[in-house]
Amino acid sequence: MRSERGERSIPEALFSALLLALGLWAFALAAPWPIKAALYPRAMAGAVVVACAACCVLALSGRGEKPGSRVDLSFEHDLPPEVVRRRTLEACAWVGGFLVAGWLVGLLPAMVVLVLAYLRWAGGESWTFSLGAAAVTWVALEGFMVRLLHLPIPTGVLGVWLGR
Amino acid sequence: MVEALLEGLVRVLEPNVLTYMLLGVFLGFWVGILPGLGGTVTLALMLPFVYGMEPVQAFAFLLGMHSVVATTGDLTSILFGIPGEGISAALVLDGHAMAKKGEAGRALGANLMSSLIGALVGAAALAAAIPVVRPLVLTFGAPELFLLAVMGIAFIASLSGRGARGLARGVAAGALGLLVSSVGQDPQAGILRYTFGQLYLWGGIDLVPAVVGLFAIPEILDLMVRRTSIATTMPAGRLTGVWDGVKDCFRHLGLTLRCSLIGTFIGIMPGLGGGVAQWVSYGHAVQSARTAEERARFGQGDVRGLLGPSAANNSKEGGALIPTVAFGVPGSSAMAVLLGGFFLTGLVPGPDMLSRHLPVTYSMVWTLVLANVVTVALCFPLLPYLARLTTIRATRLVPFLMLLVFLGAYTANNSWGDVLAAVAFGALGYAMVSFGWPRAPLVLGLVLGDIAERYLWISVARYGWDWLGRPAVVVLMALTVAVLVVPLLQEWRERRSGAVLREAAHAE
Amino acid sequence: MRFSARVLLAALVCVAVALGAFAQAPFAGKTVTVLVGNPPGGGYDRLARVLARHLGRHLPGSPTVVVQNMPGAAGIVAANHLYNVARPDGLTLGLFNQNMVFGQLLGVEGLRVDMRRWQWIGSLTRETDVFAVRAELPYRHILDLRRADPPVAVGATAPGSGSYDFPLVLKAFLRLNLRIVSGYPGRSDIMLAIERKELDGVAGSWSSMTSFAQRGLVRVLVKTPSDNPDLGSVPSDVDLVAEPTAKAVLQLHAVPNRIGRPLVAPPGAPAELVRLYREAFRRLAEDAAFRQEAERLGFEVVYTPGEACLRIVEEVLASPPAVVRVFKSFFRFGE
Repeated sequence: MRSERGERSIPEALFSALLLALGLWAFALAAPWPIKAALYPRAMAGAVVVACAACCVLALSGRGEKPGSRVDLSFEHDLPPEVVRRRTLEACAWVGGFLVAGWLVGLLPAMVVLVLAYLRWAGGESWTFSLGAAAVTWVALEGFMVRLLHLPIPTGVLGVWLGR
Repeated sequence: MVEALLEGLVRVLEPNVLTYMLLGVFLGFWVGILPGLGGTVTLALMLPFVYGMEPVQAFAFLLGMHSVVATTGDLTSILFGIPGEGISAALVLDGHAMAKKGEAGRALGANLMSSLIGALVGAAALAAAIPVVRPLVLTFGAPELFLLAVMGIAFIASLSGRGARGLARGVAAGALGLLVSSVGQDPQAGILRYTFGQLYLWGGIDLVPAVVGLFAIPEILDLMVRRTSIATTMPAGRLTGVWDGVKDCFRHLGLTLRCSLIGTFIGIMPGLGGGVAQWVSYGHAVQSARTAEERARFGQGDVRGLLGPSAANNSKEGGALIPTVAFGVPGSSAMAVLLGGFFLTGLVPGPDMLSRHLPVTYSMVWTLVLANVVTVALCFPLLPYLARLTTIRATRLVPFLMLLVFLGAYTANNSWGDVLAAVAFGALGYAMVSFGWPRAPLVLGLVLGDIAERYLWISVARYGWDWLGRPAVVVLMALTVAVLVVPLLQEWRERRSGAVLREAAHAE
Repeated sequence: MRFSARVLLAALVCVAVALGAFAQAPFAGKTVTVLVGNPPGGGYDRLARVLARHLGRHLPGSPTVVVQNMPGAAGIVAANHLYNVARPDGLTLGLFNQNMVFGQLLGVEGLRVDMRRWQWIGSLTRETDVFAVRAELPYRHILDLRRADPPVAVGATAPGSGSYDFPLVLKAFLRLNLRIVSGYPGRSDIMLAIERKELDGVAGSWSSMTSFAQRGLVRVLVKTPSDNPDLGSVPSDVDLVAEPTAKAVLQLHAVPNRIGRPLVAPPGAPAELVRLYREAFRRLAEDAAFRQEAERLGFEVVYTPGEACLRIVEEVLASPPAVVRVFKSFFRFGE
C-alpha cells in the first residue's frame, strides 16, 4: 500500500476520493442549519473538497512528489507484501478480538487473556512465561488499579445481562 | 517584590512543606507513567486532603504532583509512540522515531533536559510577569484570540510536506481536522452538528482518544507486523547515551528557549487550550530548519522536533498558573481543580494573590522549580534502563502497549465511546501513514478549529467589524502572513541558490 | 432441662451475633461509588468529593466512598448508565445536574431515564441563579437595564446553558436592553472577558460567582427566589413580573434549585440500603466537619430529604402545558 516517490497511487486516489465525498456530504448536511451554525462547517467542508480533489488528481498523475514531501512516520518494510498483508490482518484480528472480548466480559479478564494468548501464540513464548506474565497483569490490574485506586474499568455487558 | 520572592523560597524550604512536595512528586511520577491515572483526575482525588493545610503546604503538594506529570508523561510517547499525559503527541513524531533508530537514550535525555528548561522558563515567566500580568492578559480579547487561533492554523503549511503533493496532503489533513472539530453542539444556535443522534458526540470529538488512536494504533499495528524490537537499528551496536541528548539540548538552546516562551505564552492565554502549545512549537522548530535536507529530517528522528514540544509542554504549565492565580480563571482543566485548592485553604484568587499574598504566589513558583529539578535528578539514573525497553522483542511488549492505549482511552471519561473513537482514528491514522499524509496538521485543525470559530462569532457579535482595525489584531495578521510565507520563501531561495550552483557547475 | 436451656442460650447468642453481623454486613468492606456526570474540577465534582470524604463515616461498616466522573451530554450519559446499565446492588449512587428534570420535561432525545423512579437520597445544598453586571457600571437596580445604552453585552457559552437561557428570559419578560454574546468556551472565559471590559454582564449559579462578587468584580442585580442570606438585598425575578404565565415560567425555572446537587440511587437498589443512605445523609447535614469544608468551597449547606426531592421533581413534571410551552421557547437543556 506504500506509494513510491513520483508514482501514481490508486489506493491514495481512492482515499482522497473517499474524503472528498465525506466533505461533500458534510456540506450537504449543513444545508438546513441557520447561517451562524452552518458557515464554519461549510467553509471547512469546502476546503476539504478542494484539497482532496487536488490530492486525488496528483495521486492519479503521479507528479508533484519531491524529497521532503513526507514528514511523518512511514512503514518501512523489508518484508514481501503478502507477508505484510497477512500480518496486518492478523494484527487487526487481535485488536478487534480483544475489544469485542472486553466489551463482552469486561476489560480486565480480556486483558489477562490477551497477555496469555498473545505471548503464547503470536509471540511463541513458553507456557510458564505466558502464564507468569498473565498472573502479574492480573495482580497489577485487580489488586492495584481496581482495589486500591478504584479506577473505572468496565465489567462487560454479559455480566450485566446475567446479573439481572 | 524581591523580598516576597525570597520569602516564598524560605517558606518552600521548610521541612514539612518540602515533605509534602516530595510526596507530590512521587505520586506525580507514577501518575504520568501509568495508564488510566489521569493527572487531572488524580489532582481532584487529592484535593480534599489539603483541607486544613497551610496554603504553601497545600500547593507544594498539589503543584509538586502536577508539574511532574507533564515530564513523566512524555516517556511513553518517546519509548512506545503512545501519547502520554498532556496529549504529548508531538513528541511521538520525532521522539519515537529516534527511539526506533536506537537513539532512545538520547531522546530521553534531550526530553528530560528540555522539560526542565521549559519548566524553569515557565516559572521564571510566572515570577517576572507578576507586575505586568493583568494588563497583558487583558489586552488579548476575543478578536486577538481569534487571530492567535488562525495563526496557529497557519502552521499547517509548515507541518505539511514539500512540493505540491506534500502541501495538498497537509492542507487536506488540516481541513479535515478543522471540519471534524465542528462536531457537537454549536455554540451560537445550539444545533447539534454531525452527531447523528449519538449522545457521545454532543460535546464534540474528545481530543485524547483521537490523538491516542491516531498515533499509537498505527505504531502498534506496525510493531505487530514487523515483529522486531522497537529499535530496529542500533548505531555502533549500543544504545546512544543519555548525555548526548543533554548536549543536544544545549546545542540548540536558542530553539529550546524560544519554544519555552511560546509554551508559556500559550499557557497564559486561557481559552487556547494546552494541546496547542506543543504543535505550534513543533511547527516553529520545523521552520527553524534552514535547508530542504534539514527539513526532510523532521519526522524521521531529528532531535529538534523533540526539544521544541518537550519544552513547551512543561513551560505551558507555569503559564497556565498565571490566569488561575491572578484572575481566578483556570488556564487548563488541571488548573480548574487547583482552584478548589484555593478555596479549601481560604485564599481568593485574584488581585490579592499579587499583592497581599504575593509570597504564597512566589512559593508556587519555587515549588514548580524545585519539583522539576527533583524530578529530573531522580529520573536521570533511570533513563538507560528505560531506554533498554526499546530493545525488547515487540511481541513481548504488544499486549502491554494495547493495555496502555485502550485502558487509557476508556478511563479518561469512563466511556466506551472513547475507545471506539480511538479505534476509528487509529484506522484513519493507519491510512494516512500508508499514503504519506501528515497527521500533525489534522491534530492542529482538530485543536484550533473550535476555538477559532467561537472567537470569530464572539468578535463579530460584540464589535461588528470594527475589531479588524485593532492594533494587536493587525500585528497578529501580519505574523500569520509571515508564518504562511516563510516556508514558501525558503523554498524559493533554495531553488534560486540551487540554480546558481548548477550554473556554476556548468560553467566549469 | 438445664442442658437445653444452655443450648437455647447459646443459640440465642449465635443468632444475636449473626444479626449483629448482618446489620454490619451491608457496607463493611465494601466500596460505594458516587457517579458524577461532570468532569473533574467543576462545582458538582468538588461537592461530590467533599461528600465522599465524610459520608462513609455515617454508614454502618464505614465503607470507602469514591467518586467516578462520567462526563457527557450534561450528565445524561451518566444518568443513563446508572439507570439502565449499572448493577443495582445499591453500591453505586449518582450526583447529577439538578436541571436534568427539565431534560425530561422538554423531551430531550437520548435521555432514557424517568426522574420520578430514582430513589432520591437527598440534597445537601441549594442553588440560586443570579444575573450580575460589572461592578463599575452605573446600573444599581435590574430595571435600570431597560434604559441601558449601549445594550449590556452578556456573555454566554451556548443555548441550553444557564448563562444563555436566563438572560434571554429576563430580556423578554423584563424588557431589558441586553445583547447576548454566545460562544465562550467556559464560564471562566466569560469572567475574564468581564475583567477585560469586553463583556458587561453574566448569568450563572451563585456558588460559581461568589468569589467574583466578593472580590468586587461584579454586582448581582437579580436572583431566582432564594433564602440565601448573602443575597438578601437582591430582588427576585418572580417578584418583578406581574403577568401570571411569566411568573409561572420563572417559578418553574427556579424549582430544581431547591434540590441543589441531589444524590440518587437507581430504581433497583435494595430498599434497606437506600434507607441507610438517607439516614446517613441526614446526619451528614449536621456534621460540623462536612459543613465547614462545603462552606469553604462556596456551597450553602441546606438539607432536603429524598422524599421532598421527589415531590419537587413531580411538581416540575406536572406543570400545566401552557406554561411549559412558553418555558420551552426560552429554555433548552444543555451544559
